[in-house]
Amino acid sequence: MEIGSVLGGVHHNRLSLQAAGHLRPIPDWADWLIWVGAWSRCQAAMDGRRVVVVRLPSRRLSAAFVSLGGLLAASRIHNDSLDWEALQALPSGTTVHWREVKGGKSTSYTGTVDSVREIADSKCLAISIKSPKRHLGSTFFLPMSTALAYGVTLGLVSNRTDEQLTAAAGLYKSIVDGNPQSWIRSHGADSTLVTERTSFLEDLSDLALVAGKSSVVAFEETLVISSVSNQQHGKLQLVASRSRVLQDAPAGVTILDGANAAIFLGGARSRSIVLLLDYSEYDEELVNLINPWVGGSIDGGIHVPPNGVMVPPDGVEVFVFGLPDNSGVGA
Amino acid sequence: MNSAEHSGFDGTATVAGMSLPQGSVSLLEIVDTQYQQAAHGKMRRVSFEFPPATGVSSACGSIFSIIDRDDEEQRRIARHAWIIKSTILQTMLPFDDPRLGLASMAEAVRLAAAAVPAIASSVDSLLGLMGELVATSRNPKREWFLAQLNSADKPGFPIAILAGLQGTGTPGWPAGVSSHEDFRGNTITLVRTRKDLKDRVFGIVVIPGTVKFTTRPLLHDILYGGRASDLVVLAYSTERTYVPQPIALPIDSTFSGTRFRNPSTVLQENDVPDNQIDRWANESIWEELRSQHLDVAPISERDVSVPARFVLFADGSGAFLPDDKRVVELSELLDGGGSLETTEERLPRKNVRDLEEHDLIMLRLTGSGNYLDDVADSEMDQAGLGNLRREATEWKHWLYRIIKEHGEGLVAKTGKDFGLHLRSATYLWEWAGDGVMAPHDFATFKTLITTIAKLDPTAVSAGVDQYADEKWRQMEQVKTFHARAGAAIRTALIQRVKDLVGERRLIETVESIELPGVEAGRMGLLRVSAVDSKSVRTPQSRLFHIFPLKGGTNWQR
Repeated sequence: MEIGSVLGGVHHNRLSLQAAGHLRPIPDWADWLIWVGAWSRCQAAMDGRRVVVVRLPSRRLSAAFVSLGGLLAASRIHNDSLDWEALQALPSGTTVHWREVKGGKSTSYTGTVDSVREIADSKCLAISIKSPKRHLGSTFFLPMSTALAYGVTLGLVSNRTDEQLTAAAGLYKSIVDGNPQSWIRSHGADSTLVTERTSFLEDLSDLALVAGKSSVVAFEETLVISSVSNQQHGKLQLVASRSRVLQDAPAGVTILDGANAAIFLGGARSRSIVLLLDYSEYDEELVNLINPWVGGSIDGGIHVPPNGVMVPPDGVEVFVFGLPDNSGVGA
Repeated sequence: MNSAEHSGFDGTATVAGMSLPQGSVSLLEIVDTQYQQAAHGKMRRVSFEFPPATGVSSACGSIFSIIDRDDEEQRRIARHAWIIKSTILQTMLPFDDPRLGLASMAEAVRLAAAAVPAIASSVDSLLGLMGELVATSRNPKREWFLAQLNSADKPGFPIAILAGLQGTGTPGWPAGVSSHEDFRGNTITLVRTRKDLKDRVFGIVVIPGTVKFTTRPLLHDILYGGRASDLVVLAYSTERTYVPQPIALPIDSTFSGTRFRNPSTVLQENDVPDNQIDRWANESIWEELRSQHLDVAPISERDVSVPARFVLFADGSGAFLPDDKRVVELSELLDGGGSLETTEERLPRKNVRDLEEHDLIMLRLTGSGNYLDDVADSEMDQAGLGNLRREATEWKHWLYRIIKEHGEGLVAKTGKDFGLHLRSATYLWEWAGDGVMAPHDFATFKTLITTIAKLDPTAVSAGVDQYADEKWRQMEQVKTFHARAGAAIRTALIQRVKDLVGERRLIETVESIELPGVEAGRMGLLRVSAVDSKSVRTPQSRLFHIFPLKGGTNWQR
């Protein structure tokens, strides 16, 4: 993967923000945070592990922009054929969901994976249908093209979620070169955000993103949030900082929003971790927490784009360090 | 007479190309302003030649250096001296304002000092200066501030004064001071806690004294959080000002060329007598409180010690609260006139380490330990399952023994071989203790039991799977009782809190909450008056116990 071409395919400069009904350009600091998210997500698909520590005047809204950058890059990197491989590798009995559109009406299906079978020289995913009830007990054979077109997901896609996915995919399409439509409906969460859920969502409540002439999409919807607790499909898994165990999505970027989330530094599985802190949080206690990782850091695993890193705006500080592949209890 | 790099509240405080958000603004605008102000802000010191203040400071320093601080009576004199000195140096009220209580303080020092001849001359000098200050009432810091306010050509310019230099009990800033009545300004905010900064940015923040003992989150938010583009420290010529620098970030080769320099002026301090008395006055109370609890022994082997900090309440009581836990905090609802939706199922919570003065937290007032556990245990007894909790958690004894024998690192490593992912190996202690019941999912629990069985095959006599199944089922039963107890408590609490919100009840110190139909104790809302900035390891059995402090509400004096 060419990190330069991936980042070059994410045109976040096309984005504008709508706050409390007023349209405005993305501020420099937010643009930089989007870039950090995208850069970190690109690196998650490359060799090595790394942690980006960012110190900000205010941490509010920052995790949303980093997450957005991560998701934009993920949709750019996305490869359909890997989705098919992942679907084939699902253990038998795994519950999956998909939607089928017939006559303009979208129906939600739930089933459990049986096996992969070869039908007419083509591999098909056999799924035993659990709902709708009228199809209970029948087996559905999904060839690769159908599976990818339907979007077989591990989380449920309700009518409302389906609308949100469509809106978000439309916005991504305006910014990212590639096919975000299939990525957004690919089977699982891509990245993970550990944060204070309630305040994070409240802060986003009057913000929306606009790309070119596309319709306005609420910021929260563009993040395509999934939650382990409500089993809804999404691309950004939201985990509460007070959780005791972190099962982050290993392929994406894991964003630790604040000092309370920093404790997960040792337990994250992702190859790219972004730790966001404000000045008041970067204290001796935090230094003691991250020092073992900084002390054991390595030079490798940090992939600088050909045109260099984006310079952070004044008031923002950042450092990045590489980790050995086997570092961390959860690694 | 004063000197400063700049003066004026209008022109100098506006960063080029930037304007402060006015009226109803979005969070994005506020955050954006913070970034701009953090990038371009500056700090300046306005210095005043004022001999009476310098004299008071010197006399108090002299008293402090002479008295015997091992003697309780003399310690009280030292504390009086510190309060007098801090009141005079920090206040922006006229010195004859009765709310400052300088006359009564002078009388208290005079009486107490009669028994210590060695400090007589310093006390005489101090009393003379205090008399002079009260008689003239002139306060240079106040005069400067009001003069700037009058000359400013932007009437709506938002200004903050950091009144919480040492928390809500800051000498010189009594609780009744009003920005509107005392400083004649509609756009002035007195900042005492971090809550006063929420969703706000200012043109100027005025700092009326040393910030050496200001709580770190509040201070760093003001200094480096872009709350204002102009930070003005008001100081008498001999007054030491201090500006903490942020901890330096490690330098890496990737971003090394992009390092940001903090714009603030660096003002150094020396360890002069002034600072010695300040440090003693601000730290001795906490050191005394901590030392009173250092020898508390765990009540059992599962009574694990965890980091906890001492929280003082406005009714003169205090309690240790665990650093990594959250407590119900209702100040925004009850003080801010917020509303609790009828559909609300949870009360707002706050991390213990983020607690600050004036928060209103909910704790159990009577009984000890965990309210939820007691209510659930009572229901288990009634259902004839009195041993259920003990049986369900018997594996904790084995886990505890294994960690003690092998060390948490080895247990975590063995667990990792079986697929156990922990955020930290020290978390094993949490599972072994009574703080949490079990891992959050069965797969993790089963892996944990497999780990125990691997390290001590005698611990689990039946098959590992069968044992894990049985214990998990029993714990699920306990959790069901917890859920029932929790629902009963929550319903009663939410109803009671809604009543309080509806009544617009102002809670100054403590409000007892009776929960109809819920046995096993009484809950209460307690107003936080101070929080220890350092945590100490405390046995879990000691947490949440409320006990009265020596000296009650006057603990600080």
